[in-house]
Amino acid sequence: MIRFRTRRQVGLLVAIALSALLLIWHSAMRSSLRSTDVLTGVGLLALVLLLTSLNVRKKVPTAPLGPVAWWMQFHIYGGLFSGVLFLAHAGAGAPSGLIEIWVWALFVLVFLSGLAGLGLSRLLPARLTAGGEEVIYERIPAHRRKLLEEADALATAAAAQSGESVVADFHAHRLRSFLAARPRLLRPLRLGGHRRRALLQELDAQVRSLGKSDSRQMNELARIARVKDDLDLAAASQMLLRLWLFVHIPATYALIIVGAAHGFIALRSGGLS
Amino acid sequence: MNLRLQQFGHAQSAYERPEQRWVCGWAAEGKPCPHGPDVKGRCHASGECHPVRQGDRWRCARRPDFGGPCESGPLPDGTCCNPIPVCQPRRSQRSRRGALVVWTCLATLGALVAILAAPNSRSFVSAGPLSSSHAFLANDCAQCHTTRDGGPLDAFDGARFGVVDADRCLECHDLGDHALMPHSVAELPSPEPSGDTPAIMALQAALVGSPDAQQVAGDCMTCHQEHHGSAVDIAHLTSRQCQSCHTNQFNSFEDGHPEFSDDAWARERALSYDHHSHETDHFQRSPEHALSCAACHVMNEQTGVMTLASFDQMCAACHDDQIRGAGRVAGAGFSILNLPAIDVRSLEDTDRWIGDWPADSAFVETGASEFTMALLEGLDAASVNLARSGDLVDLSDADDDALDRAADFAWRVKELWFDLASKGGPALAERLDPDGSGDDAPARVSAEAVRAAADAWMPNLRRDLAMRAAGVTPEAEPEPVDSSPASATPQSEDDDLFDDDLLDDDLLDDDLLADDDEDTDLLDEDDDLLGDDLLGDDLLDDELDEASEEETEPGDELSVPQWMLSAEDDVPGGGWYLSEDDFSVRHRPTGHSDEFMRAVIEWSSRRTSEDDAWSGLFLQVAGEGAPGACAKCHSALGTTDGEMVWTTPPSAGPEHGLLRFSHAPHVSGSTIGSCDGCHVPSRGASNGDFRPIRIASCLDCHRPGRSSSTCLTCHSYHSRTPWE
Repeated sequence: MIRFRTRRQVGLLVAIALSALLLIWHSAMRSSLRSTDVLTGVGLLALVLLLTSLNVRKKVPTAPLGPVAWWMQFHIYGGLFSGVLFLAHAGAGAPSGLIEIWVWALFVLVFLSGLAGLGLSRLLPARLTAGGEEVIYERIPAHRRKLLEEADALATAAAAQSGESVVADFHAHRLRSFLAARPRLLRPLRLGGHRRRALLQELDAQVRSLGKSDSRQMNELARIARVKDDLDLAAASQMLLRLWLFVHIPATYALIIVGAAHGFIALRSGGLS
Repeated sequence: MNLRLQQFGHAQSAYERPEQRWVCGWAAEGKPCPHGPDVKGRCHASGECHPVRQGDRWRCARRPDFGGPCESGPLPDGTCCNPIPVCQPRRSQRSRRGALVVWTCLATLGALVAILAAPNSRSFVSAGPLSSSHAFLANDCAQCHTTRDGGPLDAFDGARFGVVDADRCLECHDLGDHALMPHSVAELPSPEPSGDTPAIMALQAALVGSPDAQQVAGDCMTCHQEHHGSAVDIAHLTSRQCQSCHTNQFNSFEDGHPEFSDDAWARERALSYDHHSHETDHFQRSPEHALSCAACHVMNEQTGVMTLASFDQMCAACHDDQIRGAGRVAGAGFSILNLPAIDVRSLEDTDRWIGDWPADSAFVETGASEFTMALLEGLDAASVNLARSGDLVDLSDADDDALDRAADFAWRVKELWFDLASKGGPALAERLDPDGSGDDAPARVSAEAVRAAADAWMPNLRRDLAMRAAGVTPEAEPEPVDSSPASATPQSEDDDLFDDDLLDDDLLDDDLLADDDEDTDLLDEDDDLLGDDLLGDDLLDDELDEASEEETEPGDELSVPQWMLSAEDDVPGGGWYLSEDDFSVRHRPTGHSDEFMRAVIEWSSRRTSEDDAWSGLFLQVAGEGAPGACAKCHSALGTTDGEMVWTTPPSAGPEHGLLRFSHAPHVSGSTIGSCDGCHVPSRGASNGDFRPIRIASCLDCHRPGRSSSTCLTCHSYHSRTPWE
């Protein structure tokens, strides 16, 4: 089994070497008054199709086409190389033709969303593992409901037991909305979260200020709130790991269609870029 | 996380199937039903379980992960006691992503078809705005794109999808006969490789090779890529691109560029000017003149091309009088039409009558002028040789054949004179331009002067010709006519061809030729004519002295002014006059660019290439020492493509089709400041009066960080300007 670090180093090395060769070849071709537009354009479209085949590979897990992990490695480093190939084809600046702008924008969207997905898939799983229990994404609403029901029961029992409504009131007015709320999507990226932290600090303060019985109940509510907080983090992380594909995959297919149309028109118009 | 949220096991948790297309509508609330929707997204929930009948009883079948069998159990009718409200199933996340992909593809395809099929979708199909020079073609793709027949997209608008045809480019851009060849020339030189190709270019050649002529030829788009916006210069090429084809390659202008050859900036110049002699000699004698480049060389501010100032501005002060013949020993004018010297006595002695002919002609021993010879049509070679040999002056020993030819030549000359005198300009034009092509510019010969001369020297010309035509010989031997107009006039009184008006013409004005007292005024020391440069000439002074020494008799004083006051002196400003010295009608240049001189030179120059008969005339008017001294400055007189080349057209730079140079930025805006920054005077240099320009003088400015030094700074790719 090749270690991940070795695999990444080899992949990066190959991608960088290919990119350097491509740029040297491209520069030599341009300097010798040879057009690279057709070659780089056709190559780019073919590469995008190859990268898209990862999706096909995953749909037929039993096909003898090598491990999906290898396909994923090719997808990642091939995707990085496609950015260099795109630069060689379109140049550094934005194009001026409308259909070319369309293709350019789609490629940039696909490339950047791919980079974003790569980053998220490297960042979030580690955080999820460090966070403790790895919950199944589809079960998260049920877990959230279960925590809410537990907190409701706890607050009701606290009120009945002590005859005071401090715990129940705090739960009803401050905690319940937090427990029932859906997770914030950007939570894994450490954006926002001030209200959540303020609530948890308030809970801790309540625990210290209450009597022994209520303090125990409030302490239990604080534990449930923290579990809910961790659950929100897991939910948001898994949601992010899925949502970037909502951009990457549709944009890829649109890119293939518009890119093919652009190539057809360009070739038919005499190779004009 | 301290709390264990999820349990695993068939009895503790459900088996999640995220790849399914539909999920229970209650799942988002955290309480999905145990059944879930079917594959079409329909909810079939009725209760938490579907009770199972065992004998006559119903048993609860609730799944263990949902709590297992309930305490109440099914109702008597077999329905679940815990009913579940029907939900609205939702698509799974994967299904929603798949649907988004499908809709995105459909929308993209639909948008493409709709846009391509739209009648006004050129801006969408276009690869971008055209360059500013082609912007006017933006709404007419077919101006450049050629429709391909039969293509599926031709139904929309074939021109939008047609190829760019180089021939369409050439409809506007005239690049000559070899427009699509490399550099638009028929053949390129093949220099020997220098062998010191820079490493980067050697690597490039090793990788992709050098472009061949076939690749570069025939396709304008190899270099000119359109549709990149109005601000893009589509003619731009990098220096490395320029060099990729070249045999000898170098790094940059400042590193490896070949030295300019000595003749790179030299060119044939039709106008000669000796800068050195003017600076060191002529201007030294005329302190009011100083050698200043700007005095003669004027830059066209619009084109940046250096031009010459006019003759009046540059040269007239010193050379105008010279052109009119001031100080010329050989005479200021030249003979156009004349009566050549013929030994009339010998012809008469052998009974060969030629009518009127100036008896003095034999004494002046002047042959036929080149113009006269050129106008004599159909003269055979023997007669021409006889006329040019000078034997006509003395025919005493001539044989009969020579005498016949001499007589015939005399009659041909008389016929020419009669023709010109009686018909004037049209007759001359007919002889000059028998084909009627309109090339008869020298026909501006003054017919008035010809008639006056004929009246003076051949008063019975018409009678003579009539008698010759009738084969009649005069019984009495005709007396040789007196050449003076005074004696000629009475004999022509009955001649209705030449009326008296002609003889009263100013050309024959008595003031010039009569020996009256007024003429003596001309000898007055205060007279302008005597004060003229002509008389100040050393040679003339010598001749005058000699004449004075020979003619010291008091009674002979009147003969001196007759010799001095030639008809030529009567037209100091130039024009037509008669010369009794050689019985000729002469023309004196009126000044620079004299109309008749120009006409004769241009006309004879054109004829010289066709007929040697005219070369003598060309040399007479345009040769060294000719009146007007045209050839002194116009040193390379001749014709190019039928047009006379008087001056070399202003040049935008060196005479190399692929080089260009503009004085404008170098003179007005640079640090060079003066002309001698590049043009270093050097007597006897191959480039005229200046040293050849070297690359070092350019490198002061044209180097990185100061001024552009790319190939295209000085070189043009095409051998001629596309819009030339």
